[in-house]
Amino acid sequence: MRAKTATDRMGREKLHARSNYITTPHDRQAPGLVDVATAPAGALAGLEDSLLDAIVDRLLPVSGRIESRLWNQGGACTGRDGVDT
Amino acid sequence: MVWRYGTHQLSETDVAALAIGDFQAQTVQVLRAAELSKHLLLLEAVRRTIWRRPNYEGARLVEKASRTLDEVQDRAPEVVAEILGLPHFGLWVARCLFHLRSRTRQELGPAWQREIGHLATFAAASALRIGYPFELIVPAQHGRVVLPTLGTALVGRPKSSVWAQIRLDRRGAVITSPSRSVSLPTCERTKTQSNNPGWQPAVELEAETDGVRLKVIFETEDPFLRLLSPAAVKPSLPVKAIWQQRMEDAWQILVGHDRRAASGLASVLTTLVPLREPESGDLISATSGWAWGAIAMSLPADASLAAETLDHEFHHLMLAAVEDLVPLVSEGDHGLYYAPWREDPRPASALLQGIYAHLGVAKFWRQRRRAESPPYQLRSEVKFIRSCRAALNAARTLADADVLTITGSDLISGMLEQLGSWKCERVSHVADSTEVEMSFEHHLRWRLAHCQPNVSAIDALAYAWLGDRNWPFSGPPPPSEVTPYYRRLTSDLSKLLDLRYCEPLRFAQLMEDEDSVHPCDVTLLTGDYAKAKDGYLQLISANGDRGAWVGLLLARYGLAGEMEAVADRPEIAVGAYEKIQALTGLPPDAEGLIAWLNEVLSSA
Repeated sequence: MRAKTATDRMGREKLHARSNYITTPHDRQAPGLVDVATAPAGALAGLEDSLLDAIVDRLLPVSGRIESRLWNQGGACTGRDGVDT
Repeated sequence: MVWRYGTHQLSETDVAALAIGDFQAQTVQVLRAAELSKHLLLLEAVRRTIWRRPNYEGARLVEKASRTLDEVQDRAPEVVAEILGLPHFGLWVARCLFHLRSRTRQELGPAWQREIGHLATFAAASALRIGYPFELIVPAQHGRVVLPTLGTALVGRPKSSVWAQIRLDRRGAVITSPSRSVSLPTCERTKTQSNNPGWQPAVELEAETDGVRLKVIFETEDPFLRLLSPAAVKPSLPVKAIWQQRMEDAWQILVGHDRRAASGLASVLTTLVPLREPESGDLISATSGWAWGAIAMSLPADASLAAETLDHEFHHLMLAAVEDLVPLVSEGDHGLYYAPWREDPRPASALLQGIYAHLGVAKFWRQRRRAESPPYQLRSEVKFIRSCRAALNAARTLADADVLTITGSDLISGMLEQLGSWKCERVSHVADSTEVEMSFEHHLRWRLAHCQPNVSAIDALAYAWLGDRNWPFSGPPPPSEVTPYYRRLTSDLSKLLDLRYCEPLRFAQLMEDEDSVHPCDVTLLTGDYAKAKDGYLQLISANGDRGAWVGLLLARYGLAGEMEAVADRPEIAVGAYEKIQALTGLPPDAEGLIAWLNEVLSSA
């Protein structure tokens, strides 16, 4: 699964992305959150497009809205810039 | 070298501990690292999306800022991790990606170039923190450039939106707009320098109790975090001092309440966004799964409320990190559910968040009630039992809805067990009856506002009541549909019930003020249920006042001492009443109708 990457071409750290999927009870696979917290600079350039897209699709559904993950009490977030929940 | 990636993982044991609000240091660390990974992956997605549009002007800005970030990361990875782990960055990168994914290239105009250009502020802050030479172009919003963790440069007029050049070289650090140059601090030790004209250093709040230290940015400038609420404040020095004191007092309570949770909060919470107190006087607070590490809140009236709010929002942040790791709710569910703490119907994911936050609230007041003296003891008791019962009922609803994933089900099972064990704990009779009345009022008001009864069933009931035997009538109506704000209704009862136990003095003053409180509400709240019932009946027949149905059913409960069937589905009674009135032109006998509907609904 080794990707030919921009980082390879630049002669920097190479990357091997392991597609690790988690399973939901609805027989659908969702991509796990790849651990890049300590990845060196530029290393993410080698991450497969398909894996990154799958992760982003799960985190930010195209039909989703940023305010769908806004939790407030007492009416903290009503009335501006679409953050009304 | 080949960089091998795994995925962030939580074990079943971790999930079980999280479900009961047990925040083990190792688990919190996993979630923190996961959130940083999320930010880095989203940034990578922004880069790739923009690079696929080579002619887009923003591509050059992103490329240059990315290069600076990479260069700083090579030298000080911990600094870049800190800056890109901030909620400021999380909200920025999520907004960018949402827009990039939802808009065509033509729609990415100058406003979005400015938004994309904010990446340079994070790169500049990172480079300034380690004194690494760079030169970048940054957007100034309202004449200000916020450099996260460092401060704000005032480079133009408040209403101007310009681009500024920011650089660090042998001559020092400076930001230059068409109208102004501002000298900047150049490294960590001088970041609080405040004597540069045009430079406002970042403000921090700190608190320490028994070796557990909280240190947060007191953020009032960031253009993205301001989106958490329209009510962000511009604090003066005295305001900051009040917040500092309130946080110190709250921190003492939190560390005493649950040292492990407080340590977790200290490692997660990086940013406090102060909000202006609303005219209602209510405490408001907010968190977002995109602004991980930030809590926005108005100034709580006392230290206990401040501690409760921090704990409540901390639960949201932790669950947000879990749901970034693994889906908790089935994507296919679009249902809306009753949340006993909200005015509006909630989707399953938001309901789960609320249940978890209220589990935290219940845990907090369960312990706190033992430490407080009257009149605050009653407040603690009511808050404990109210949060506990509300979260338990909502958790049962969600568990029965069959919309959770395996991990979501594991979490809700743990919460159900914990809440179920607390529900059996004794509270005073006053606290118990106060909670019952408040929950009942909320349930009635919510159903009347959001539950739309089946039209055919209401017609059938109305004609049956009027004795039209030709109209088909086949028993109780089917379930009502949740239609947000199907009916508008006003009622002061919830606020008054809240004040009665939270602020008894203010409540007593209001009750004596005839202009502030409706006489029917006064009679209800003083326990004269018969008189209250007559008053509400009059309001309904004379004005068609839908809010009065809440008072009427509460008064009937006060008189009978037990719930009636109509109280489960008050929208049926109101729907039938209004239909009958529309057909006959006269208001029907509301009490007679309720008695008949009780029989019909009980026969289900």
